[in-house]
Amino acid sequence: MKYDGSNKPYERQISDHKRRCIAQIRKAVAGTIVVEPGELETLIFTRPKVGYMLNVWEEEVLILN
Amino acid sequence: MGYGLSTDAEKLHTEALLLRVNPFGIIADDSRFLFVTTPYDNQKSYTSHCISGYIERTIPKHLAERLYRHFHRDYQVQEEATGRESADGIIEGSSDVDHSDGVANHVTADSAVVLPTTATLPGDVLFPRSPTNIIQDIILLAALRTRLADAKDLRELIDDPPVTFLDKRQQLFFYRGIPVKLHHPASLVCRFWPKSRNRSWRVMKSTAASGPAP
Repeated sequence: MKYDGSNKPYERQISDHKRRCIAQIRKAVAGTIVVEPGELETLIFTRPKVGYMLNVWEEEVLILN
Repeated sequence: MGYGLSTDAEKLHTEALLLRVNPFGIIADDSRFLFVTTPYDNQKSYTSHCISGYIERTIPKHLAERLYRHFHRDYQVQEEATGRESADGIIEGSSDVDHSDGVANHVTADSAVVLPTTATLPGDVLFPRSPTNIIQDIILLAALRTRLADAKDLRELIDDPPVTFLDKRQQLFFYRGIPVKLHHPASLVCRFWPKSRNRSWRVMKSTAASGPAP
């Protein structure tokens, strides 16, 4: 354990989770739609010490509760 | 989608008997009758046969109406909206006496109650529809939910689907109309919160379980 602040397991978990989500989306859409280079990578932003941000316009999101 | 209601009394009678002994997807309602509740088309068709052809003529009126509402969720809504009764419905005797041993000849002209059979079932709704229409109509919304799990492309159900579509209840996620099976869909779905006064939607790691991001 590094106590100088460079060891941030939680930040790494966030990045790993984002990467897994993107990989699953990429796998699902493979062969069905054309995905532009970098499209999925920019779908979810990681904000250090804050969390995630879904990088789409509000009108492009529909949630059924 | 029609259900092909049959007028063959013998067939209906046979189906009703099968319905009462078939243990699959059936619940007991009145300790005498068993009702199919599975949402598959063949089961709904099966049930429609029984409701319209046999059971409603052999059980008390109030139970027949209850049964009808059970399988036709939108019946009451449409009845209130139109304020009238369909002329091509089911004629049911008004007596509350147990008619379970009887046949379909209890109807009297002065006590007949007409139940509509042409109410729009969730399975009858035609898609695709616009997202605005679906959200504003609970019947369309229910029909959409029943089809989402099997949808291969959201464009079959929604006109111009949004980039990301989430059904929190069923934990379904669609990206550009394509269903995505996330490893932990709940962990993604439950963490989307609208960020007010901003163009983006934020996912907060620390406030996911407590509410929207500030």
